[in-house]
Amino acid sequence: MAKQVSTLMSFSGSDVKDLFSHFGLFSKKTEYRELVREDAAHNAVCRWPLLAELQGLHFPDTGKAE
Amino acid sequence: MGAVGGAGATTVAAHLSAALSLQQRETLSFDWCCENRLRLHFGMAVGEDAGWAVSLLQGGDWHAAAFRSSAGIDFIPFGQLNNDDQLDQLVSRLREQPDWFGDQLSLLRVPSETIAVCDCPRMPAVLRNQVLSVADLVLTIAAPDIVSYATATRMAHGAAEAGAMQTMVVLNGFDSSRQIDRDISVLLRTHHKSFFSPVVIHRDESLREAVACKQTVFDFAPSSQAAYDFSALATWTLARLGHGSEDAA
Repeated sequence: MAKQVSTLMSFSGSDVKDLFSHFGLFSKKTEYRELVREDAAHNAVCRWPLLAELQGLHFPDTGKAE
Repeated sequence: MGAVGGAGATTVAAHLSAALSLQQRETLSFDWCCENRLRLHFGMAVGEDAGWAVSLLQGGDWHAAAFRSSAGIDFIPFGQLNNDDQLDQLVSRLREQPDWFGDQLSLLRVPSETIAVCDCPRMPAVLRNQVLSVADLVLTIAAPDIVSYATATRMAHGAAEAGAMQTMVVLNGFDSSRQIDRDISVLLRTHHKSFFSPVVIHRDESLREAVACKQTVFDFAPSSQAAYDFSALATWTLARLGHGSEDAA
């Protein structure tokens, strides 16, 4: 879980430094929109364990069926 | 076709037909689901058993099972079968004639630009394949839940890999106030963009109320969100079909 959270943070749209590293100082609006959507998709996958599993991610602390 | 049971495929089929009809397109709605529910959106009496499958099994002319709703929508119900044996008989018969539906469509005396909208079942496969073999466009209806999402996207990718007809996923019952709905919508827009219909059908209570009154939302609540969404879906469908000159299923 910790690893996935840190991945999430590195793509956080609120991190201005990261944004500049993605686009440079003069970027296009459409590129920004795409990145925000990718962030949202990544957050969505991390939020739901079944969805994460379907996308090929695994949460080690998720409860198992007995 | 519904990705899973309860995804709302029958509701979408009924309202897509109604919306196309309101846009002055010739449409013919076929119910291929043995639950025989499509007719209820068009005001047919619950106790009426007639339908193409019943006529076919009785050796009659299935064209006699065509109806027109008070709103002017032409539809052909499946018919009410009495037991599982009858369904088995129908499946056996159509298994021997895999092109039956395509042949019947080509024999129909309807304007060439008529759009056939079919409520297609997932099972039995024999019935499903009768429809898919002649379809120009398949709309896979997905509810905003993860199982539905997984199934719908697998179906769409599978169809594309098999070189089958274009299969698009339509999200039905979307409610932006729910986190999981927003997440599934975002995933469809990002990871499955090429298969995702840009038109989303929002969750709207007027849909349940309309069918309870044996109407479509275009009659029951013409100013509703659902009426707007289905109108947009019809416009988008026509564009996908190339100005509506081909059939849809």
